[in-house]
Amino acid sequence: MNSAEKKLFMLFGIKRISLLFRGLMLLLFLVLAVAFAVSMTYSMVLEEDFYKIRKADGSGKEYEKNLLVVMYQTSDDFMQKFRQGIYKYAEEKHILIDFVNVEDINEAIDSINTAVAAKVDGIIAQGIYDAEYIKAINKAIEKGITVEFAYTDAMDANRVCFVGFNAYDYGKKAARCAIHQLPGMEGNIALMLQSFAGDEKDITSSLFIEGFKSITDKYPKVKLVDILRTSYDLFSAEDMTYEILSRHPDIDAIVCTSEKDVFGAAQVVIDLNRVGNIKLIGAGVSKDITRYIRLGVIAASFDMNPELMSEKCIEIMAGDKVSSDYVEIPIEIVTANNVADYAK
Amino acid sequence: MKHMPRFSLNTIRKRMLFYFLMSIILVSSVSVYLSINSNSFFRKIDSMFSASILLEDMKNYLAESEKNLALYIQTKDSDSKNHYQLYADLLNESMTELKGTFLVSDYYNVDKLANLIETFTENAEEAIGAKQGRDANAMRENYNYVHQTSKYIMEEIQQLNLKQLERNTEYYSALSRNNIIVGRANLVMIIDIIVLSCIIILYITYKMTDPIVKLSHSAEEISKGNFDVDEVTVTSEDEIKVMAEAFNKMKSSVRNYIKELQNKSEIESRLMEKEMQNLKMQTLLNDAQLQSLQSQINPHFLFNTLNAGVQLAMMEDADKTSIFLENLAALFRYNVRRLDTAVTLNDEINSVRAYIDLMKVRFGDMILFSVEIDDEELLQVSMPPLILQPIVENSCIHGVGEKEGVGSVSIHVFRDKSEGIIEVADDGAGMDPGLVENIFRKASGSDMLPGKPKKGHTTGIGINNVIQRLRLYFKREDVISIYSVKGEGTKVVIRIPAVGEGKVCTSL
Repeated sequence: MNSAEKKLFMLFGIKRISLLFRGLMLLLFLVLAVAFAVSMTYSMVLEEDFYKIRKADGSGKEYEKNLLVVMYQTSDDFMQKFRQGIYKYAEEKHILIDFVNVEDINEAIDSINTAVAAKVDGIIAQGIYDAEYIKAINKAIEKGITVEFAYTDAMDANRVCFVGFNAYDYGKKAARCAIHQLPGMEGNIALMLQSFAGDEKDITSSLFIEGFKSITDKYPKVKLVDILRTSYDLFSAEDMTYEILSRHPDIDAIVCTSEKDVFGAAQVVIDLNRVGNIKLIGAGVSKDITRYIRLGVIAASFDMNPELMSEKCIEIMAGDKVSSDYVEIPIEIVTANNVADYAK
Repeated sequence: MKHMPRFSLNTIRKRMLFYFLMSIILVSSVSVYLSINSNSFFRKIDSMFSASILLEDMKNYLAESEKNLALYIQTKDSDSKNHYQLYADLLNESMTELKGTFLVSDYYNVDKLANLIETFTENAEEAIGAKQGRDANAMRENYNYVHQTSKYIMEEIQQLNLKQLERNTEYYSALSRNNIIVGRANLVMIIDIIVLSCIIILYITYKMTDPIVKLSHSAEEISKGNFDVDEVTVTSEDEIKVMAEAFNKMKSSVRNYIKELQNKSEIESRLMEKEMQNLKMQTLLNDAQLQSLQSQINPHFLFNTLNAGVQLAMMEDADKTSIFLENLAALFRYNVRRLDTAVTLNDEINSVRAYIDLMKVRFGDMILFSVEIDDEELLQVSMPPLILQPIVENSCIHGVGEKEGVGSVSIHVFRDKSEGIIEVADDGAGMDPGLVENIFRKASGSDMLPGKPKKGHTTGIGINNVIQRLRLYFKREDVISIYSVKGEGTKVVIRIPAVGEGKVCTSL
């Protein structure tokens, strides 16, 4: 023992030094154990996570069905809610979903063809009238794949069923809503419809117009001055609104069937300082729409119930309900009176 | 219940083995763990890229198989068919492998790619069948479908690669985040294990060497002759404890042995002292005897002559001469007796009286003698012979004799508490304090040899001899004191035990 150690032992006493040593050793053991546990845990957590994913997909048999969902929609709010709903209900039913949001019809056709080659169990698609599209759909049906249309229906396709709103009723509701917004229930109304195909093949649009007209016809002072079709172009709605306003400067109400259209029209109305002067009837209940309803820029909008739509789609695909080939999703009107319920 | 044999570290070897092995195992475990940990990290990184490599291979196999199929359909070349088969098999094998290794994000299905490849193979087989069956339409249709499916597969692979990249990025960032924590924890482990090992070694070294150090200190102290060191206490149950116990036992037995030796030597030295005393006494006695013998010419002749002188004096009616001669005879008789026999104080007083009577004749009225006995009992106290006479002699010769005019010598015997006092006082010339001191120094000195006999007026026994004999007889140093003032006189005080306490008529 050297003199320093001796001094140390003399200073604190042998028993205390011994105790100190033991305490220190215990402490260091604890620190070692904790560090080991932390190191181990953080290494294993990822390992576990990593293997869990591998197992779930590696086995590949944890789901019962494999579906392709092809949507041709630009409404972010609707799409987001619909997609969330699809995933949520699909998970409950052990269905694996391949969700594709296409921007043009060829992309949609490719997706369907790929799905057919990939032997999916079913396809949930938007009903769009396009010859190639319908051909691809029918080819899938030929291969024994269950095809279901959602949101919009189309002619000539042998889809198992359609899940969506009643376009005729929607047209009627929209017309009534627009007329009630007009002071003295008179004025000029323009329709702005989002459409993918020619007017005669787009069942949804046609039914909507039919329904709309069935009401406006009853009001002689109400005049449906124009019907325009917007494309998926981001600025399409704004251009169309300017066109309506140039053609009919005395327009009193514009009725839109998509979230994007009503939002674009609202921008024009604000720009031209005609808020309140031109009544806007829209679709969807996104944050922006509800804000505009509260501000009075948009008079009313329709909640298309995307969650319910997604639930029904999956239910039918899971084989729970196939009793009818037409499943109607109710739509609800949202005005300044009840916007608070939606603006969550 | 039978007790299990308990593992205990009861030997130094076991303990050293245990602690050193423990340290080594700890350090090694941490090293092994760290090595496994870093390997696992690299393994994860590897696995991240293995799927991408596989997908790239699949792309090549697909392109090759489609190219060979097209070649076969065009040329019907069997090599091309074989090549197609080879690449198609490789493609399927890769697909199976991919299923096991692919890292995918949620909701992605590897089966989609598997099914696409299956469709590709089925249609290719059908196209080959149609070619062999010379069904041109079916062949074309199937080939077109194969071509389309191949396109889809390529797209799917592309998509998978993208997803894989996405997933890898996500996984890698999670891995990096975790790795920072794991790295820090590992660093803490490394530092901790280094410090812990040092402390274990330090503690164990101290714990094992401390009793040895204590033992060595004690041994060093004992080697210096200090047996009053503390017992070495060792708490451990090992050889050192055995050593310490043996050491403690050895220490106490050595100490006891030394004590015994000391006692023995003490007794021996006491005996030696006693012997020395006896020797001294004997020497003094011899000295006194020699002195007395020297003055003894022929006692019988002298007594007879003195008795003849007494008778002659009686016949002539010279009473004074008769008494003088009687006293002289008595004094001689007393002086020639054996000196190693004790006498009583009475004998001594009587002898002194005879001497005084003789002196009175010699000095006449120049010296006044007086003897005062306060306690008659004291006369029975025994003492060595020829003590008082030399003292009185000194008083007469050196005290009163050297003084001009009349002097007095008195003897006073009295009791002082438990002891008897014999005081011989004179008012003679007295002595210097230095002379008194000198007398006592000479009396205490080791010079035991008899001094030169005094010639002349004395009977021959010196004061030194008197002092020494008194001290040896009564075994006390303060038995005699001399008080003297120059020109005023001297007083000699002898302290003897009172009757009953002292020795009564015993042999010396």
